[in-house]
Amino acid sequence: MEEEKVAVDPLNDLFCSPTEAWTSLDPNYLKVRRIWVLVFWPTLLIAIALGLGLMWRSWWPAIVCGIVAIPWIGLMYWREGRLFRARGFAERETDLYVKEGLLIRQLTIIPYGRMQVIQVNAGPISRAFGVASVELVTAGPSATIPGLNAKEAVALRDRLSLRGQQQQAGL
Amino acid sequence: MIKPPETAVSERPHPLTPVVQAWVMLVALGIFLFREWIEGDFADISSLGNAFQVWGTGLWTVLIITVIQIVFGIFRWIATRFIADESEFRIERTFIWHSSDRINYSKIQSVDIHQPFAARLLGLAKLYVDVGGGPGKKIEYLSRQRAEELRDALLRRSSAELSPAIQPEETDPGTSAEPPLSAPEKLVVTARPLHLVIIAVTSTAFLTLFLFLIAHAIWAMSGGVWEPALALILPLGGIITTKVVGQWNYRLIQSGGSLRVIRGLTSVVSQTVPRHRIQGIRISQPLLARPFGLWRVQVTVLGYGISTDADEINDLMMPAGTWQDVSAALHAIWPGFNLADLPWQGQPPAARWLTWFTYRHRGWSLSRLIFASRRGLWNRRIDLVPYARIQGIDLSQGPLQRLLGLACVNVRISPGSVSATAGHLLGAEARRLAEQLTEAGRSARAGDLALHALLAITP
Repeated sequence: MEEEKVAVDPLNDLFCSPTEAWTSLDPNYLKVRRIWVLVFWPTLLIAIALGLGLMWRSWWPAIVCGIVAIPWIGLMYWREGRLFRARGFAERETDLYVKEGLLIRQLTIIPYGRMQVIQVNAGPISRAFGVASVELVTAGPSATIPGLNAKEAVALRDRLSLRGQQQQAGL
Repeated sequence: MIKPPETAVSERPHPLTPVVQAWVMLVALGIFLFREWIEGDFADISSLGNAFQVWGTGLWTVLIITVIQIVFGIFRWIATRFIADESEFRIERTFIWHSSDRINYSKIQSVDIHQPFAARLLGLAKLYVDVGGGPGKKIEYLSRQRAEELRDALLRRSSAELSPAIQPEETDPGTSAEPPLSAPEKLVVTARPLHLVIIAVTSTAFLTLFLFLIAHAIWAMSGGVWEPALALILPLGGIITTKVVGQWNYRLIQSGGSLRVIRGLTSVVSQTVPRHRIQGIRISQPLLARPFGLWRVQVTVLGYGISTDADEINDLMMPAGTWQDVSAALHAIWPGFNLADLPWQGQPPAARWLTWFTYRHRGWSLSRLIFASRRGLWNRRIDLVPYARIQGIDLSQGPLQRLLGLACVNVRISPGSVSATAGHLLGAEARRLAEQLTEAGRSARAGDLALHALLAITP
């Protein structure tokens, strides 16, 4: 969120926060994401190495995968940090702003009056780190704020559903 | 009209229902026996008996399946009841699987009448109740007249349950509390067969398949095999079926506050579209239909996007027609809106790099009540979304756009064919547009006034 404050060139300005600053996600969420990177990519690379190796009866796939593994997983690990910093949300009086994405950057504005259901979800790994995501279901596509502190997520849900009830509009 | 529903009336579907449900088998059996009879001795009916000997098990299987289907159908018919009481509409099934569908009147989005071919021959129809989320509820089969009565009764109940702010019947303030829904009818648009054919054969799907077919024919003539062509001809036929046969004799009828679509050559479908449920409109034109000046009009209706039964649900408000027809259909949907009034905005010059062929055509427009966008090369389209229907705004920027300093603004609405996107604006302009749309949506939600102006309803 520090980098948003700098906002010198107009391209950064495009995704600037409507309030003073974007609320960033829980740092534990970054840990969850990085654990996932460390589990997913090695599993996939081993599967590829095994599959191709057995099919071709050769050690080459394993060697290539082994060489690629460290830089690739490192890149993905580092990228999670940037993805994490690219995420953020901001609550205004009538709308919720959610920002995400590195390559394709996206800002979604959802009016409280359009929220049909607000869900708090947490998988097993997330629960272990006390992290939960908040999903905003509208009659259109839904938006998700992943990785909030579990207590904060519940509080946000309550806040949002209260505002949603106050501002609810007919479909 | 329906019997006064003070006491809950419980009814069964029409007694001929099992016959219609088993009609495919009956027709197969009939054709088979008829052919045997023609080919055999005309005078001697007993020659039919030989057929059973000659054809043996195959014919017996068909016969047994037909009988089982009819017997099951009869039991199902006995076990099915529908009840319209004060608070809800119920469909009770107590055959092998017991089910009780309870439909709250306020949840009813629309009630459609479908007449498949066999039902049409017997003067029967099925009722299709769309309840928004999830699949619709069917009542098979009723007499055509009873189906219409029930539809009118259900629609009247459902609009009475709606909040008065968006009650469609208020277009006619002179009538009493329960205006007859099917009384004043006005024909808005029809579709000419020639137009339907042109729109069908110029559609991207048809052209793609057709090109493949030609390529295949060339290959087959130079020594290949012809058989795989079937795999291309069948979907081509499918396109013609949905776009021409399914839309045959298309009529858009205005009756009271709602719109009704009647269409179909073999099966006749009558579909009611409540205007206040329409979330957006798309006017589109395939590239090759341009010389003919033909367009189509689609709508996104709340709840239709989720439906699984593509054959039952149709989002076309005008399957093929001239610009005059477009205007007529638009006027029937949103009388308070005039397409010619839209102040169109073009794209910045930098956007030429991303839209080589559509640069001039593309654009967006903010008007009093509506956000509109214009784009598309193979299928030119104009998408219209009322501010009162905006579910959210997306502002996005991909890597190429970032290089050129551009961004997109997309309006989120409920799922369907309409999608309004202002492509490739200058970054700052895009952010401003996103905020403007958010603000417009906010003021449109407050009081539903914008929607009333659009639907030309006096609040």
